[in-house]
Amino acid sequence: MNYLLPIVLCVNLFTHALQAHETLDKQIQKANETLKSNPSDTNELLYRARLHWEHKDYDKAFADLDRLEKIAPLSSKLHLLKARILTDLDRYEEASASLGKFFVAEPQSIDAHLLRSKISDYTGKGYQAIADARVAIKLAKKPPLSSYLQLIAMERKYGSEDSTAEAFALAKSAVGSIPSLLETQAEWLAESGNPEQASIIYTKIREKTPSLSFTIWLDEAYMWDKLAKKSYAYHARLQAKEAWKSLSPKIQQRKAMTEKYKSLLLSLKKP
Amino acid sequence: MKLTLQILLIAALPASLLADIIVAKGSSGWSYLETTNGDDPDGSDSDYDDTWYNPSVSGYTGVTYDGPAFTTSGTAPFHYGAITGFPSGTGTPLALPASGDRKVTYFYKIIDGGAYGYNNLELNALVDDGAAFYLNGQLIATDGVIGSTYTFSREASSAGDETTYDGIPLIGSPIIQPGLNLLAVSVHQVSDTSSDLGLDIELSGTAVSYNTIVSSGSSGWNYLQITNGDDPMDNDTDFDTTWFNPTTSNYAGTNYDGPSFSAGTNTPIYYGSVEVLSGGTELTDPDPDNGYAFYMYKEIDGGTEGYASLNLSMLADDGAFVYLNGELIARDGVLGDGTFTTLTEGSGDEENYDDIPLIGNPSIRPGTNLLAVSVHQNDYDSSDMGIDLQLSAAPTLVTTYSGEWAMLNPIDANGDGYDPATADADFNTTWFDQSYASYTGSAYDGPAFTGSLATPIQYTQVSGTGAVDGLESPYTGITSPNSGTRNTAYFLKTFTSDEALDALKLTILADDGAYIYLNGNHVATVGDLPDDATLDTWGQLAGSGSDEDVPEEIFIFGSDIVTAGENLIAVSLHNTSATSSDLGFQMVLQRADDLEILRGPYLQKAGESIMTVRWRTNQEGASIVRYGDSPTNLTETVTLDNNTTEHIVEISGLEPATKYYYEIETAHAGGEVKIEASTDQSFQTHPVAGTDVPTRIWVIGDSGTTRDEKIAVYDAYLNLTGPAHTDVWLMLGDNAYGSGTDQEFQEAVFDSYPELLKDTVLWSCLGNHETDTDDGQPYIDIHSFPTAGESGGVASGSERYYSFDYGNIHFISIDSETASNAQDLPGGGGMIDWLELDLQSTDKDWIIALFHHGPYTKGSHDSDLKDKHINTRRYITPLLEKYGCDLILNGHSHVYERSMLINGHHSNFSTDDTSDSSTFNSANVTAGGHVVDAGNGSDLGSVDAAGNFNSSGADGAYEKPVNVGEQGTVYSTIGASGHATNWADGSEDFVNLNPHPVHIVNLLLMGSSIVEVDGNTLNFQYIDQDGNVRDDFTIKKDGYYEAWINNHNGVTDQAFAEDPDHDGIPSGIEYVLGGTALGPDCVILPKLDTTGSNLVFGFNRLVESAEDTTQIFEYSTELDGTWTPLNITDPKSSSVILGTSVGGIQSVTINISPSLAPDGRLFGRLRVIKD
Repeated sequence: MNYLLPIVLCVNLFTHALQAHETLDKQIQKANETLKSNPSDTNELLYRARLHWEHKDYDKAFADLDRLEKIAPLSSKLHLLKARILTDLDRYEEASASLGKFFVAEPQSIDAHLLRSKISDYTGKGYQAIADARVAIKLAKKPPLSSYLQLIAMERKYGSEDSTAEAFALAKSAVGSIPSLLETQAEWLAESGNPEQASIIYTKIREKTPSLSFTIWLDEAYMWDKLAKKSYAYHARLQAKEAWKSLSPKIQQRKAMTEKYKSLLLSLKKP
Repeated sequence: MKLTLQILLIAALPASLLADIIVAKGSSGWSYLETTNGDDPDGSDSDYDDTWYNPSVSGYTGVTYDGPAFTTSGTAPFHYGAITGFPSGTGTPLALPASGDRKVTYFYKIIDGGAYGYNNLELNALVDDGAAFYLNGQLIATDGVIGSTYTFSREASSAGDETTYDGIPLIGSPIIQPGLNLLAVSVHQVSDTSSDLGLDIELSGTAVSYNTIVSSGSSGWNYLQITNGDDPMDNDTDFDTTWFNPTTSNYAGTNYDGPSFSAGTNTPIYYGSVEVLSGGTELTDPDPDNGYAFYMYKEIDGGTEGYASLNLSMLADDGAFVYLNGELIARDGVLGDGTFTTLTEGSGDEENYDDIPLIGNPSIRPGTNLLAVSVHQNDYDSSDMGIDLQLSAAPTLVTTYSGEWAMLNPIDANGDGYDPATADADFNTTWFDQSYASYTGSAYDGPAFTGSLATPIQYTQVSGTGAVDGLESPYTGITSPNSGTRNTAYFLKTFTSDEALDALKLTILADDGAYIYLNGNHVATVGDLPDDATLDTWGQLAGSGSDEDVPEEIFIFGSDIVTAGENLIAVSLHNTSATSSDLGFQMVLQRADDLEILRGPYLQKAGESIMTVRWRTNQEGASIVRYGDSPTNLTETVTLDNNTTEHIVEISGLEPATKYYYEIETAHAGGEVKIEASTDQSFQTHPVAGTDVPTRIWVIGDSGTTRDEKIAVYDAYLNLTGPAHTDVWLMLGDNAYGSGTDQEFQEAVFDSYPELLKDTVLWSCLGNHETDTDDGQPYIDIHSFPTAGESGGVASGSERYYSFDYGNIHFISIDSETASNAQDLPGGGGMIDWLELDLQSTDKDWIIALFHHGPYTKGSHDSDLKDKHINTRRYITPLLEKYGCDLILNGHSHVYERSMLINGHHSNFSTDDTSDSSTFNSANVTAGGHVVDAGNGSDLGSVDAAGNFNSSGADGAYEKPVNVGEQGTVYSTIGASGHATNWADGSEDFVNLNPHPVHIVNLLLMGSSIVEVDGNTLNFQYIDQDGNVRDDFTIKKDGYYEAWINNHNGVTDQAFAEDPDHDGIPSGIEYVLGGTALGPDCVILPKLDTTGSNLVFGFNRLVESAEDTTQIFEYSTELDGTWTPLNITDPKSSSVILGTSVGGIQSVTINISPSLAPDGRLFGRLRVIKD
């Protein structure tokens, strides 16, 4: 029963959605006028803070948020906005503290968990970064691919081989074995000393999307190059050359692809 | 079958034939006043003009009328003189006044609105010469009379149509109230010498099946208007939390000590001119720029059992919050919590009463309730504001607060619960069908059911027990047994029904689970209990609790499941655990609405062999699509027994480039509903990927308003395109203002483009307003976009970004809004990685990309300043340009902007460089600049400095030779399909005086774009809302042969007719036949097959060679004879069959009748000419 609180504050960042079509300066000017006649308008204060943020006028944004906190200490969204601004300014500890206040009111916020995952990453708190990414996935009705990718990124950085593999499996079970995800998995496998498994993944991409065979063979050649497996790399390049032949003439004509092919031919000529 | 028939009628018949006739043509019971002496009745009765049309007569309560007596018992039609449209000898002939005395004749009639009245009224009348129509004292229509008053001296503006009954437009949305109503008509002559006068009417409408609790134009409102702009919170700090729930004479709310409300007011309440609101209470205009909220509340009577299944119909200009007993139950055009300064998201519909979705399932309690409304402006300086509303409730059999429930809550003397079956061996098979009150059922000899309780019912909340969260208050408390024995409690009650029913809707909240019985039949199970009701014993525990916050809707079907007369409903309520601290229930049982289709059909996720058909129904059921090659030949059926309201039918195995007619149906045990196939309900599969087919694309951006101008943009397109099919429809985001809610999508998309939705696939990218609700989830839920490459392109795994192919065009929809995608960097498997793979993979001739935030705009947003625009120039546009993207379509800025052909004005894969407009280099790319072609790209004309499109000044089409990398992209902002606002500098000039330097056309003009692609040509036009072309350009591609020969490393002699590999075949022929200029390839030459009934020449060719060569096959009986040509390229001969493109290669088959080779000899040759 929010209505029993001394000051009701369920601020909505989007109350002014349609006004957002005006220029930023005009919107700020209008918000100034509104707040001049009603300085305690909590919605407007939060809105103006966001405008100042968009305008990169951080001091003014903080001033509005500080005032809002005094008028309406029970507001939660001001803390989320403050955390975002502080994150932009690389002030991660303060951002984390602000986010903590937000979580008191809204512990189930997916956005806040994803934000805290990133802040934790920036501050080297790997365990928390992973945990928040996992919670964000768990809370969402249908988590977007980007949430899985955040988890994978954190697992690659801080997690174990098993937990990273599990994160990839989780993502694939949700969105399917899409080429961009497989490509990333192959890169990770190569980085983590499993190039043979990476090669298997590259093969899967080529089987699934033959039109990508040429570029994926080049990716694989690049992987073997990095591991100084010259014969493997050479083999991959030969395969790329073969794959080029089966490419549609239209793809062959694209300048970016032609340049890749010419570069391939050059590298094949090198001893 | 009954339900189906109803929909069929809707599809086939005018609405008027579906409506109930309330007043029939030739109806009796009219009273009328003739004025044969030419005297104004106002002369003898000074308030005649204010009272005659609303008299208290025959049980109808109007006003006191003391004027001349009306003649009663008249039967229509009424007339004097000859009225052509009336059958002779019918109706009531009136006395013919003397010439010069023929003025006005007055009529009225009592009409019965029945139990709930009628709405959706339609008026048809034959009037000679003009008339004013009143319903219950309100003017509802005029016909042929002009002015604000319709007194005795008012003459018709022209001689009426005396031959036909015409539909008369109604003022506002009048309704027939339940009970008695009064319809009055004054009929006016065009001149006092006119020889004839006549009247007959037909009034029809839809019977309302609701109990009206608060009618429009209701009395008893208290209101608070503050005109000086002072926020009431300034003097009463808890105003915002108390005003809508004050304790009043008969209602117990909270203590309210804010500004006093004025009492005794009638709706409508308004100031200024709100289109259809009149009468009621007119407020004072507020001080300038102080048009803040005004407040109102009234007590409403819930009767003895209250009401459930409420319906709110409201006209709020501009928007409102609605509260019932202190809880917010509805919002119209407003977000968040209401404060004095809260503004609405739109300007409101001031012409119509709209059904407003209710929050949750609010109920009206027995006795006095309090309804409160705050009305809000869209702008503080708006000139008008107003409200009227009607609150009604559907009839129910059992309602939230129904009383007379009898209970068996088995508790022994020690306070422990016990199994009633221990006292009555057949308890479990008899208790729910026992003869009770006036219901006759089975003999029952178990423990007695006692009491007369009203729901909601739950354990009394004392120490050790808890509350069932979602139950309404107040509730009836019952004793909870001792912990460890709280298993099951039993309830039953009787109710009467006027008719037998086959379909019921049960809305029930039962904590933790329940079995429901009707007249001894198990009809529903709530929560995690076994379906088998023979397991309904006292010891049966629910597996897990049902949702104790939100009631569950269950539809019950069965022949005469409710009988006319007395019925018995019984509930056994089960806990999840014998120690559970709470147990309770409430329910609403009512006749189920007819099964209805609420949305659609609409088409999604299409491909060469697939199509997705979607629609929404009000009740769950199976999804059925029937389709075929004509509306009367639906040979194929897809049925999904998915029991859903959101129907998504993916059809596969279709033929490419084929038109199918279709119908949709939803069926459940209670019936079915369908929208039948028709000539304008069809879908077309995509052409085989890679084939050249003329393609028409319609593009709209930021179309999410519901304004008339938006519809004008749509109509302009429909008028222009005529019967031609729209092959691809693109929406550029912000499709539903203000927050992308499902309801806003209903209004801004589904209600706005009905014709196109059912025969054209809708594709879109994500806008910022879409993400204002649940991070865009409604947008995702409403659409079915390809995530697995189903429609061509590389699988993206996300509906927020995806690609698809249509013929030889590759479309890419990119997410520039969601931070995780818009700020994505290469290497993490996200959108940027996908985009590059997708671009590397496509072999289509044309690439068109769409995303909401334009890289270059000085419209209502400035792409130099805002991160979402800047982000697009970091990786997105560099990648698109790298792979030759031809056209990039954006919205967000509510203007029209269009660039020249440019390349390279971006951050070039960098997050440091913002590449703002000041860094644009207007030099040609060959000189290190960003311009590929600075012309306007048009073959038709040019846009002048005033923004007009003229037929002069055409610079010619843009050219993108493939042999030099297809360099150059055109960018366009199409953000004014819903409204046009302003430029980045704040100006509202028609032409932007400070445009982004890439743009050569900048118009503050609503419109949409038509893009037509045909072979190697793409034409783009911007069309305004009047259908005029306001911009035009064309992109042409050539240089295919040159690109082909360039790929032959080491070949220096690249001419078309040369033969550098000395195999006897010129390079031009090798190019067409898909050969190589690097070695012998005689196998590619055409072959003759004589084994069939025809002589068949066959070969393969490079599909794109048709773009820059003319190919002719010739045959002759003699080498030196006459050669007969057959064109292989467009237009090809009917003897030529072209195969499907595979990897850019297609087969060519030429059939020649043997009769053309009478000597059994035929020569063939292929001629190729470079265009």
